[in-house]
Amino acid sequence: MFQASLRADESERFAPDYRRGYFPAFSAGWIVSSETFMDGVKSTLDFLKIKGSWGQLGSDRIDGHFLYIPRYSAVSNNYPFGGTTLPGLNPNAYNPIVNWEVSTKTDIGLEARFLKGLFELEFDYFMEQRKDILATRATQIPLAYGGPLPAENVGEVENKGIELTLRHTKRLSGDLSYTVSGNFTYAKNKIVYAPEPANIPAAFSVIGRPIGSYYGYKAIGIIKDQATFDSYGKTTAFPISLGDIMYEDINKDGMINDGDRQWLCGGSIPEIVYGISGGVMFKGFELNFLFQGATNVNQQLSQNAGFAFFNGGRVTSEWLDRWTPDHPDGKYPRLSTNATATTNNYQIPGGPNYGNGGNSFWIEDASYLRLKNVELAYTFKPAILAKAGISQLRVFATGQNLVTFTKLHNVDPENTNASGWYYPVQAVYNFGINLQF
Amino acid sequence: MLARKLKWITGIAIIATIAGSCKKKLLDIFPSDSLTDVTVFTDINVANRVLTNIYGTLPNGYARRDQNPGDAGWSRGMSAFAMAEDDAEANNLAASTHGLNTGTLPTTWAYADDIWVQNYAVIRKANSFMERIDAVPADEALKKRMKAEARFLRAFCYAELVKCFGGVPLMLTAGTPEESIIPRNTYDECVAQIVSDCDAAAADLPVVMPAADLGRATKVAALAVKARILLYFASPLNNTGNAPDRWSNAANAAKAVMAFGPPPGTNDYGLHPGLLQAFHG
Repeated sequence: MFQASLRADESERFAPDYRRGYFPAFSAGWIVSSETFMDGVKSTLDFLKIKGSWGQLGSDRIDGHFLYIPRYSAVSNNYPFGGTTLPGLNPNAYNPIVNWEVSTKTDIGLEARFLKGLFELEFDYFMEQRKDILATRATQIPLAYGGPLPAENVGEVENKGIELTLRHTKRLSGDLSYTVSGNFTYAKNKIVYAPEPANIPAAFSVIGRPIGSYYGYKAIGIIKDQATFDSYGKTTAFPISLGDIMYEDINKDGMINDGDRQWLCGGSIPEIVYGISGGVMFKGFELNFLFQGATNVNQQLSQNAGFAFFNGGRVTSEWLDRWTPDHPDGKYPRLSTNATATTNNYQIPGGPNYGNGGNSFWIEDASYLRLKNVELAYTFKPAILAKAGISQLRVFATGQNLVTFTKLHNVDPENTNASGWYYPVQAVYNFGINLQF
Repeated sequence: MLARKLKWITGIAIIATIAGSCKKKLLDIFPSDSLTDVTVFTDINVANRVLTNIYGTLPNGYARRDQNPGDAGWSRGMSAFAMAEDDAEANNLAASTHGLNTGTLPTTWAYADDIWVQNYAVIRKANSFMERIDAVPADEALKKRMKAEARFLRAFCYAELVKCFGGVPLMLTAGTPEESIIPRNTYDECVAQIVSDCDAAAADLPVVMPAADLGRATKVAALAVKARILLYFASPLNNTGNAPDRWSNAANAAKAVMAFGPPPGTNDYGLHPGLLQAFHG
């Protein structure tokens, strides 16, 4: 099997000379199991297919339709001449060579079934490269340019990984059967190029790092006693005392400031997502479940979810393990009623405005495994029901989000906003009867 | 095999032809809520509004008062700094401008940035206007005057920048973002550019504007900017060798302005007949 296609797309969002984009695609598949040389293993291998595809797609989803046209917007009452205030025309940013954003996707995979459908396997390797992503080069172009900067086709990101699905179904007897399946996705993304100033410190650059990473100051411990305080000896913009967080001084200048910001870890998009689902059927009984999990994911706690007494709020229980003179090895820093950004423990000033907590202390591993769904049901036999004039009767109990295993504090691991201001996902219990006459 | 290949090629050719012959007009859409470059620079009255906008972009905020940081109005103007010199006394000692007096400006002090941005905004608009105005079908004398106004505005903004920062990058075209990555020019180069712009503008600007155009740049305004920048050029800060010709150039440039002043000048720029009214309105 082989397929090829070529798209020629034109978009009114680009100048006539840049309007057309050609996007080819190829795909091929080979059912190996139907070849004669596979006859020997036919009893165990029912089906085997190897497939691959490569293709390009263009996107013209850019802000506004006319980025390529030099345009002017009317300004009423712009400037007075001779006592009359006149209207003016203000030039807009434009980019005459704005062009398609191109995504190149490669997929290689296989599908296989063994032992008369007892096991099924699907595997995919994927790689996507998105090039010419529109971005404004505000940090590269000097302000002496003198105008609003247009978006340019400069960004590039890469996303690759694998997907794996395994399924096992078995009928043990006429009354008893079960099925188990698992899926696993590993996806790693990376910023290949983003406009950055030429003199950006390597530790703070986004290039080569995952999208949505956390940047800031790296916490290296708590000042537990006077000896630690003396040996730490860093200058920061805020007074520090025993029980405060220490930060890594990457440029070794004795000060904790802008120059010590660095890449800390990946962000709140998990690299690994997996699920395990299964079911057992015995006579009229049915039990189904779904576990869902994610790992290689982090969340940066902030505001009420992280900080003691934030916004006049209260203190969460993990603070029981805080530094005090009598408990110098506490995991948390000393308790302070000052939960504003201007304290050493929540944010070092001079850094970019990441909100409170621009340091690694508040970043937690947000991996989790959750019993997402479980159902127990019983379907009555039609023979019994027929006498009562009932065609179908099913009794069931379902539960959602019943159990969660995670080390993350105070917020839900499926919640991408870690300020503690939103409802977590809720556990739901349902009991029901489905009756049909 | 060859036949198959040929079929392929024909197929592609057909698709390409269809795609190519698609009504080009269909995609040639123009915005209806704003004017395009083409529309603007075919009508002198519309182009004139672009010139009005360049005037409207001039740094304002010449009010002599202190406002809160973040209020764009005051920080654009040099005169906010009046409080930091002898012209005014700081009544608000917590005002960031007062930091100039006490020498406690933090590195994050953003107002210098605003002066930079605002003057370069005028410069870019003026460059862009000068590049396009010649192509507009209109009376040549009017176009000449308008172009000279833009040239004056460019010179004026460079003079403001040079006053603050010394040598600055000379942007003389409205180029691409890439083209704006250039090093600073020297103070001498900047002064030479300002003087040549002032001379060129003065040649094409009238001494006085008609009543309806009061407020537009005049010949005398151009000569005045030139005189002021040449004076700075001659001052000991920039004239360490005390070259006497810089002083004579400054004096001559000032004299050229005075020629339009009160008698023995032409009195085009005379004193107000009732001096008191000039202040009381």
